[in-house]
Amino acid sequence: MSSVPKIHHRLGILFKRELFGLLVSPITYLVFTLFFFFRAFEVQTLIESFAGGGSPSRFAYYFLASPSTQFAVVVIPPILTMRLLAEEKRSGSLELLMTAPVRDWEVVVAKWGATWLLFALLWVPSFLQILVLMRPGYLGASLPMGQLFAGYLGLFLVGSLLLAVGLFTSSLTENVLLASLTSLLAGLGLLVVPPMLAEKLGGSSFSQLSVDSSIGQTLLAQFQVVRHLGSWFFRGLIDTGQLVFYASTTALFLFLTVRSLESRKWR
Amino acid sequence: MKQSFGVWNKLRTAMGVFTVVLLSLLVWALVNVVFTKPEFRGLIDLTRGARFTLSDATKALVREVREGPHVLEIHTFILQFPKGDPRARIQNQVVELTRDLLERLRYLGGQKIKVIHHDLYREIQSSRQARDELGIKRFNTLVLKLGARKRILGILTDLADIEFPTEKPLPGQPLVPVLRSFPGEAAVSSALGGLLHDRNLLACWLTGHEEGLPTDGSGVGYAELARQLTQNGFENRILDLDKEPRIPKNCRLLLVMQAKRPIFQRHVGKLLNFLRGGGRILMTEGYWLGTEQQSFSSLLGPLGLRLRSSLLCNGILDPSGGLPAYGTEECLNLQISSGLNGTHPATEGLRKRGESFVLRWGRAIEVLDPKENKLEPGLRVTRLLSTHPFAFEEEVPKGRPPDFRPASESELGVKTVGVSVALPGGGGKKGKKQEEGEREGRMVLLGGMAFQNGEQLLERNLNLALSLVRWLSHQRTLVRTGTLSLAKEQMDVSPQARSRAKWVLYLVPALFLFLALFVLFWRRRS
Repeated sequence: MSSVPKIHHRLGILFKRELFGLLVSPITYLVFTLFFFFRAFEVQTLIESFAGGGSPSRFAYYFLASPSTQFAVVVIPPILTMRLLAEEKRSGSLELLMTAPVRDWEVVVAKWGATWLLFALLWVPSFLQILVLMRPGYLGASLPMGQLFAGYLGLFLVGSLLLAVGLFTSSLTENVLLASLTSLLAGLGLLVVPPMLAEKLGGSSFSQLSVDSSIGQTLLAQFQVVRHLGSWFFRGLIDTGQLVFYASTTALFLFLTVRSLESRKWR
Repeated sequence: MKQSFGVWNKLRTAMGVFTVVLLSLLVWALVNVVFTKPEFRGLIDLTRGARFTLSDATKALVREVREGPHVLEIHTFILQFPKGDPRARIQNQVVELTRDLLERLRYLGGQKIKVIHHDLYREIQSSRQARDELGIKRFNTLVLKLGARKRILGILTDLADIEFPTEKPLPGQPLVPVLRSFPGEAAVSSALGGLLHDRNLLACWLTGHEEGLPTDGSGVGYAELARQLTQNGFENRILDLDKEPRIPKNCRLLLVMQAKRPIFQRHVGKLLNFLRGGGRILMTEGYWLGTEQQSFSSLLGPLGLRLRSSLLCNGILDPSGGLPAYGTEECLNLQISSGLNGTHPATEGLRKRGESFVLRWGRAIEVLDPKENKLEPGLRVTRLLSTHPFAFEEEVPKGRPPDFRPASESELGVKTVGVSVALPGGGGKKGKKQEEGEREGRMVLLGGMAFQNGEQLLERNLNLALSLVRWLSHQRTLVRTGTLSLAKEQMDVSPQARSRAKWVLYLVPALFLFLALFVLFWRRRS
């Protein structure tokens, strides 16, 4: 009986296995290279536009909300998650994994945790960049730390949600390409559809939200991820309602992924 | 039999999973509905200076609006400066801060606060209609409308503290203004407080001494100033002191504009008592060609002031730094720019923004020595407006036009043309000490024509008029909130810094490329 590892030990082993798998993949580094190359170009242009002076808060906002950020938020989660379950299903290694003394939810959480950590690591060099850029001799301004903290928190939260969505789509199929495409579409849908829907419905847009808004309007506004980032997190604002939305929706998709994995037992 | 049991079991499990999924969706929806309710929702403001956090005073005003019968409409009319204009960057920053502020007000106000940003470029017809309805002639304004009453604020003048450099820039370099702070919340809250509380904000226009009147739409009348006062929440009323036993208490501001006849002694007592009781007076006086100049000494003497009788002129300054010119009617336009008092609350903001004004047909004001003239204790006289150093007084002989030239260079000097008087409140009784809660009496005297209808008032002096009126009348409703300081936030990017930044930016992808190649090589070897 004592040979069965404890829960945190099991999670640790699974987590390390997944993270190692991601870290030894050259694709990971190639994606990161591409991302930071485009980002360097963007930030250089941004610095040029601030040559006449400007506030660090505005600079930090545009630094966080650059197009490469949108690219990273939409494209990187499907790339990281597409193989996680689909590939294991296709190769049959999932059945092997499930024969080990681990639970389905432990596998899901470990895989999601490893990809989330890698996604978070992606932003560390970007944070170090702005840290150096704001030093005397470079842009010479004091860092708006609160705003940066909120901005990166927003990115981590959106990332955690899209990674959970990606993991869920990966659990639905054995086809890696289909899994990544579905995940990409789901991510894009989450970014594009709610604002369009709000526009169509009229009056339910995020900018019309107030203390008197109806439940429907408020819920619809909760899905406006792009607005959350642009109007709240990147500007240094954290809405606790949005924190709950990201945490609960991530948990929901992880739960659905566990159910999807379980379905192999009765399908 | 065995097979049918398996199918049934599978179906039951599938139903169970379906129910669990449905329940989890319901729980998710419920949690999100609950946590989006304002009672369970919080805002964590990590911005510098917590710019999205409204003060308790503002929140209390918003609560009053929510409990009141009217919807508060906030309209903005913003006309973008051209891209090359050095003010364009500041305008963008101020507009962004204003929008953020209004967004918070709108969110907290719910259905009782409507914010309408009029797009002057895309919604030409509707924005013009709104401007006509609200009576807006100037751009970059913010209008607060509650019921039938409204207040107008200048986005770049009232909501922002912009400092123009006093030193001349190097040749070829533009004059770059700096946004020091954003007192927008205080300005908007004060205006809102005025709309909510000052229900009987009355501007009384004194008559009976051939004063200029708000009903006069001609070039020498004050219909335009009266309209501006209406837009700032005042109701205009003409006051004849022969018909009134005293100046009404609800008269927040008394205007004595360009009286041509001396003020009767019976009226002087009422005016002084009004001041001692915390009243506020705006008085302008000028030079009347071909008539005897009134000194108003019975009114101004006890306040420590004397109006000179000569016509005041000033030299026309040469922008290239040459000698000032004399001898034309242009010398009548008294240029007030560096002579604005930079420490007085009525003119501080105007001075910071580098605004300049013109007074015409002016007379100098002398400030009397308080000891020699036995003035009231506690009386404070402050110089508000002065000319540049090339001003001179000219004695105009009867029947001959002035020649607008100084008799000698020794006559040139700085002349005072605007003063403020503060009188401690004492219930209208001379010598009585001011008690807590009593308002101090205030008066502004301008020794020249400044606010008459026409181009002079509209284009040059409106900000001065509104600033003086606010200082005189609105002090009680001002809401004190934190001011967002922005001066330390400025970045300056030199070409060397930009070049160094490039290294920092391109080093990271280079490192990742190296890592990718290393991993690839390592995997192939292992």
